[in-house]
Amino acid sequence: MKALSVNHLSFAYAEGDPLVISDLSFDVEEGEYVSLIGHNGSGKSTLAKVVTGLLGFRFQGSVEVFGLSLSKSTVREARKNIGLVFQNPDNQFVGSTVEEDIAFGLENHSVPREKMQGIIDTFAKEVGMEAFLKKAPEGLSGGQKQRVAIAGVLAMNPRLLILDEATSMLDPSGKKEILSLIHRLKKENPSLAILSITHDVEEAAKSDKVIVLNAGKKIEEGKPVDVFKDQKALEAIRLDAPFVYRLANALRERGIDVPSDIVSEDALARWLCR
Amino acid sequence: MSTSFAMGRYVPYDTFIHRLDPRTKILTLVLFMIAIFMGQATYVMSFLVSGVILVIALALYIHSRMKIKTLLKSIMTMWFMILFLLIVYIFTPRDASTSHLAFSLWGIDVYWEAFLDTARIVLRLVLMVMFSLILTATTRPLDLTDALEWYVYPLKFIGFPTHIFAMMLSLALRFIPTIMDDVSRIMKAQTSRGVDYSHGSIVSKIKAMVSLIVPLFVQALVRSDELANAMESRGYDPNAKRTRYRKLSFHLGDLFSAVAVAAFAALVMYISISGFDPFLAWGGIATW
Amino acid sequence: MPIAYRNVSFVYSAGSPFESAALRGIDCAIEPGSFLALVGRTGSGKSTMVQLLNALLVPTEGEVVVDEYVNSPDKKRRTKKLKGLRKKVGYVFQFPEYQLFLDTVEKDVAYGPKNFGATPEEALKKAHEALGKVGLDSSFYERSPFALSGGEKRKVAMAGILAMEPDVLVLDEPTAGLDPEASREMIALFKEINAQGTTIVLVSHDMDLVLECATRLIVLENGKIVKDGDPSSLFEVDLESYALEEPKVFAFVDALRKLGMSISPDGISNVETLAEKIKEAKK
Repeated sequence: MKALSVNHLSFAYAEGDPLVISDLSFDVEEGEYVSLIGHNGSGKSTLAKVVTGLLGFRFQGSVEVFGLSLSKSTVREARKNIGLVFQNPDNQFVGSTVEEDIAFGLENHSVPREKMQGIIDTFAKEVGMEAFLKKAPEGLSGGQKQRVAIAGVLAMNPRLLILDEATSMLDPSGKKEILSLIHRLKKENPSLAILSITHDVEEAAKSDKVIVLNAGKKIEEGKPVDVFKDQKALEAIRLDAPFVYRLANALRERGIDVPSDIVSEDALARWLCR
Repeated sequence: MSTSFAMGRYVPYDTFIHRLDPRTKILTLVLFMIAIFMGQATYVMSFLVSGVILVIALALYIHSRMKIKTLLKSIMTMWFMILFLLIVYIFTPRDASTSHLAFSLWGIDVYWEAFLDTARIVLRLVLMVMFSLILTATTRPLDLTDALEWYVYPLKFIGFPTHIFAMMLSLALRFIPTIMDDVSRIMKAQTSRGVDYSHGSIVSKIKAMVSLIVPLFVQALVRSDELANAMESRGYDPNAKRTRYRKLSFHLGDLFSAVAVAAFAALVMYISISGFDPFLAWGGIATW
Repeated sequence: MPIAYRNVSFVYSAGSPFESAALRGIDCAIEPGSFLALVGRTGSGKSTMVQLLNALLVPTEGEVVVDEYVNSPDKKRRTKKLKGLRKKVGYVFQFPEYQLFLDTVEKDVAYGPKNFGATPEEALKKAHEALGKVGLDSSFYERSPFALSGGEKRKVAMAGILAMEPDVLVLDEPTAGLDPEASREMIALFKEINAQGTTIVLVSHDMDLVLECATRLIVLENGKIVKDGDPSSLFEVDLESYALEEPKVFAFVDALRKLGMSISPDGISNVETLAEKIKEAKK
């Protein structure tokens, strides 16, 4: 089943404004981990808000969330299946403490109070924040706040997780924390679909599918191997290739003929030392 | 962090008072205020009642592990008001036949009552400050808003949106530390660009403030926009029914405290209204 | 222009229940023209250390000396007039785009020089030069800074500091949140500014950036200097124990060495130099 299906989507902030998203189509299958990459201003963050109905419904084309076509009347129902994690760790921390923030979505969906404690404990544990339940956000690191945000959306049992540059404001260790959490969640829950909007190509290299966005248009779509092998094309749209692709290219420029099927650091090191 | 900011700030200790239900604390604060401001027949009785309350206040103050230094500092900030009150009381016309002359200066008759009135009101203000400090230092701001929401709940029946009011209050409290951080960071950044927030003429100070306020507002708008998105995407609807995770709980200690303070306030009120005063019989200064 | 930290300690909220020590007995000197990177986990004292440099904070003990300026808790020793120090030390805060506030780009960039006594014409001239350095042409001068993209805003804020013509430039996570291309442009700019003689103090968690740019590296842990040396010495340090990531190129060199290749980390700072070294090692 398609978790998210975007068909010929176009969007502008106001009538007559330039299109931020232009005739975009792609699917995210159930259980699939899709990365959407593009430089700042490529329209990728607008996309996250359009497909969750946060920018209204004046778009052209259609957005379907688990078969439900997004409109004013269906948006509440559609959002029940979506967990959305934003970029800024502070601005999505609604509660005054960790436990209250995880509870926020539950309160909105009128989950009885007696059931909340168990759910909060489960998901705080899932993201490794069980020791911080009573802590206020001021005392937490960016990575910890994002883990709380993830726990808060997981508590709602989403089938599609959308990460809107969820790691871009974190330091490297916070980034690592969040990415390994996402990969673990994926393993524990194979049917969970993930759409990660990012400019971190190292993260994208580990996903099932990569979609490259430039000026609101889809430039490329495919497996990471196929998308990242053309470093020049990526640089032309202000993106980088992941480390291993860049190194392989730098070696090729120096006459070391690295085979094109080598796409992990481990494999490259072993090939060089064979 | 400046000390004035720390004054009245919540300090996370774990004492009996910290553990009390905030509703109890607000109720007892109001009861103490009534007891403090009840008029008494004579100065002696008035100072006696205030003295008893002062002993209670000091005991509670020390019990909640607050520093006497903080209290002295906040009293120091009142010195101008004390002086002002004294002058007002000196110039208050008094009945020469029932008042007691202390001395005359430049043709002004200064009565003992002027000093006693000043002392009485200052003592009451100090007590009020003490109880307020105890309340804010032992209660998380959020618990206070919950308690306030509980007290204004009846207004819901005349159409006042109490839950939206409470959500606004708790979000405001949630974002105060974040915005204070913004203030400090922007001030440091602008200071590095040569802005001086503490010296110079009024005009240059106002100009300096613009360099703080504009970025602060821009950022606050971004924050509120993103917060609204996050809340909406997590299913928040101000008009829908929601359940509540945070819950206030009233324990035996609360009941005991509320009853004890209520009984004390009732006693003070009784003394005030009945005019009961055993010292009247002593004559002399006791009858002033 | 020498910078010296002499036995510097700093305590936040001294005497309150929130008291915490951020620096404990820092002793170090920074040579003019160097490109120093300060690294360490969040809360290790890096930001405190650089904020002492232009007297945004005053040390609890010891003193920080920048040329003739002394930042000390001792009122007698402390330099009273700090404006000259603030001009000397330019400080680019993390997410500096949040300090923009005037209605046009050129006015905002000229704001710093004006505060430091430049005439309006001089300030504007300096602003235009600085904007040129960060790669924004005259079409940007009259635009509102608030209508720019994130990367452009960052450049304007950066120009606002460069226009002050500082001798020392403090950069706090300068590439955070930028896309790869914008980061590359920034890195090139830092190197160029440093080559022209400006001392740079870089505070960052991004070890790839540190390795690429810095000529000297200080690791802070719990308010103390635990490592001070050239960046390639990072290879020997157990970075994980300081909550730091190993630079990608070093992780790869490590992998090669484990597999038996004899390759030294000296001189490796990015993908290009790594490829060059591998080529040499393969011969």
